[in-house]
Amino acid sequence: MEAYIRETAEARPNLGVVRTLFALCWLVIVSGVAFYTVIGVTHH
Amino acid sequence: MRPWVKEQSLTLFFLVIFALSLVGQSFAGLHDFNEEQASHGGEQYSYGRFLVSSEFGGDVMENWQSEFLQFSLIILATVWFVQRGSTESKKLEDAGRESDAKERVGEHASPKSPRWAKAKDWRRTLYENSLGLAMVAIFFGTWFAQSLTNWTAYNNRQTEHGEPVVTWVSFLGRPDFWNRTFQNWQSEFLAVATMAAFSIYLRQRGSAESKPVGAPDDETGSSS
Repeated sequence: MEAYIRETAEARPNLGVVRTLFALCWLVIVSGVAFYTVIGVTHH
Repeated sequence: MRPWVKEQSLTLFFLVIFALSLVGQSFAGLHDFNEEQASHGGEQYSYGRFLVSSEFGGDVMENWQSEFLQFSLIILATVWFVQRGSTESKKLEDAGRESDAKERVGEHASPKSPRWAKAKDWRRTLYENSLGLAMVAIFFGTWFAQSLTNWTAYNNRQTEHGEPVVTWVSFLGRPDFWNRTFQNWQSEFLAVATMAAFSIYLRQRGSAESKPVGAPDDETGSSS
């Protein structure tokens, strides 16, 4: 049973962290670009 | 090391040193800016004011755009251009967009292939170009943000020196903008050309960017 659970876990890795990092990279880039676009437009 | 940390260590490592470098840049940039301001009696910025300044934003954006331009070009150029012996290149005979079978799309997709790789309409066209499109979009977004922040910083200097301010469109033709743009681009292009050429003859044992140490110099498109 333990071997079955381990094999199943290996076959279906938890992709939550991978997706979080993918989203984090997008968040850093999009927020940085949007923020400094506004800073530039508003003459700060 | 926890399994999830080890599995993400490449991305995590670079995100951490990115954050540390950005903080380092903000402190060094503030002191450099204030020294420059002091030399001609200009306004001194606090740390908080500097973080929301076009001077700091421009310095960040002009480096971001050049990095994403580098990746955009290497992603797109390596579809068609090859370099004999380089790990950055595909095999010489593979130049081009490749067959559906090799790319495992449409009827050649496997059950584990991403859903949009199996599609036969616009979704597949979008998905099979998504990496290049994302990088190109980020490049133009960051370059646009650089142009705006450099423009405001330029006009701030003009005002301090009693000179007339310029419009954004006029600034796009100014040497200031293109000097900042080209000084970042040239370094990226040299680094990519060097990496393509160095990886023919030089090795880094265990690196995904290197061919195996014992691989022949003219072996193209292989890595550890």
